Amino acid sequence: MYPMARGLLVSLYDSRSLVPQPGEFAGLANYYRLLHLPELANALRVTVLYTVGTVLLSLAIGMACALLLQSSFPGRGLARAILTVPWGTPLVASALIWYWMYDPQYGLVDFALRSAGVLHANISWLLSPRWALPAVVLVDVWRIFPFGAVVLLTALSSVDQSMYDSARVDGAGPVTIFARITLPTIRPTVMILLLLFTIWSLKRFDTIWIMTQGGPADRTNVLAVEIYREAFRNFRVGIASAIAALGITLSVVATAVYFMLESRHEPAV
Amino acid sequence: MSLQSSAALRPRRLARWVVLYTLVAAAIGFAALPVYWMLVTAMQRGPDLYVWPPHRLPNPHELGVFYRLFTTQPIGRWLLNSAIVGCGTASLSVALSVLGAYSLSRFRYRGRTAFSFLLLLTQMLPSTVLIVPLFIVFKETHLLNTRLGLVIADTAVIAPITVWILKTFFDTIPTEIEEAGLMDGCSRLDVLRRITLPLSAPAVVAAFAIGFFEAWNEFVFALTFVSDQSLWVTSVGLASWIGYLTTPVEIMMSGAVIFTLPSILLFLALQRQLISGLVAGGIR
Repeated sequence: MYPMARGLLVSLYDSRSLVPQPGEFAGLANYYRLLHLPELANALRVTVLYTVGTVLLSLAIGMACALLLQSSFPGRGLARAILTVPWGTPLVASALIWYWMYDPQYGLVDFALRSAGVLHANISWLLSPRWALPAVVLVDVWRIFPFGAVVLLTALSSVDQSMYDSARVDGAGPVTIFARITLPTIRPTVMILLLLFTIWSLKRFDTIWIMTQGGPADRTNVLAVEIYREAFRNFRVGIASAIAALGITLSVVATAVYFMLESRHEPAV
Repeated sequence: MSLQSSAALRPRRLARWVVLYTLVAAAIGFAALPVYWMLVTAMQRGPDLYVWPPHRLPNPHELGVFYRLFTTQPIGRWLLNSAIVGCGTASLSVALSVLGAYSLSRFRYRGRTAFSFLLLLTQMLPSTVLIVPLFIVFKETHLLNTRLGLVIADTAVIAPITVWILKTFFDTIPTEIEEAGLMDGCSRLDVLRRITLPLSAPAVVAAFAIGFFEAWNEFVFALTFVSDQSLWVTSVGLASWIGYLTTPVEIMMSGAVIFTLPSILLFLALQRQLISGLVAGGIR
């Protein structure tokens, strides 16, 4: 808590050194400046795109995986073990691996897409304004969809099998069964995953910083990266702290909304 | 089951199984490929990496890369630092969260909801929000460039999660057992030490592991608070290779292998506890 309060204090200073001097007090000027900071609007936009893209893709792929792995077949245990590997891989190692896979000259991604006939020339994924954001999103999806799959798999095993049987007797198709029986039962798990994925994506810094440092042309400049750049590259500590304060406010709102939704559901459970 | 397998012989069922297997294989392939590629890249002769099309199998004669990794890079030092910070973070966060979780689980007091709200909130904050203020605090307390500073910062991030892991576990221990202890003249702390903790061993192990790997994984704090190269942890060391093109790619990947291996092994071993821990950390 103390660091947070201290951060709020710093945001009131017009400081270029990390420890503000008394003479640099600037009141709310930094917050006023935020309104006219083009980087901030961009960072918010990128953060939203990054988070929505990552969360939805991970949840969708994770759900598909869980549904497919639900039926037992030889090699299911191995499949589950492999699904543990991506989120057991440290973030920095993931960034190194994908950085090399995205390599514009010798990268595996270009090779695979060209072999499949999708591409005719190599693309510099991380340097292309068009592809950099999807590229970093994919890294995060790779890391967290398996977590979703494993968690959902556990939830699916708790669905009452006899419900499936009676639904099938009544002539329900797979889509109806999923929408009417499966989804309502695992809804709490899906909600928790939604929250966890959102938290993780909003916070993501390491992979983006290592692979693109927010570039090219700020296309991958999420809020977490923007704060770091202001403080430790541009040395505008006051501005950085003001953005951080904004970030804290957004988190407070998000947490409060979640709490309200939770408590509204509680009596029903 | 037997009904299903006899039905599988029918062509339509068979086609369905083929599609199913293909989709599962695609997803699993997507999950496994980057890690496989890390191994393949680590085990290539340097010049073999710069060819098109790329080599797709590891070269079994290139295990020597790990020897070169440890002799040309200070990675031994970095791994040691990571392990020290990891153990420190794990011990400190378990010690703090045992007390916090016990109080949340057993006592009813004003501000309990506010406390849980704050715990969830701290999880939502990006680490970069905390670095400027922490930097200032550490500078004043001379904790910059120390491993202790990293332990403290990492604990601040992970303690909320370990608190929830332990709290959800404590909630499942019946209070009657503890009341019996109190009747026999134990103090609250005695009860905690002699009865509750031994019963909670699995949760404590999970909390310790999560604390260790938070620190093992952590990058922003380590990047910002430690500039002295001999105190670098592995994540910062590995990341420093990108950008300077002086480090050969196969060395880079062998470093990633060494860094990743303990993490993946532990995740496989503790999968169940880690999942329930992380999920419990996300709710309430």
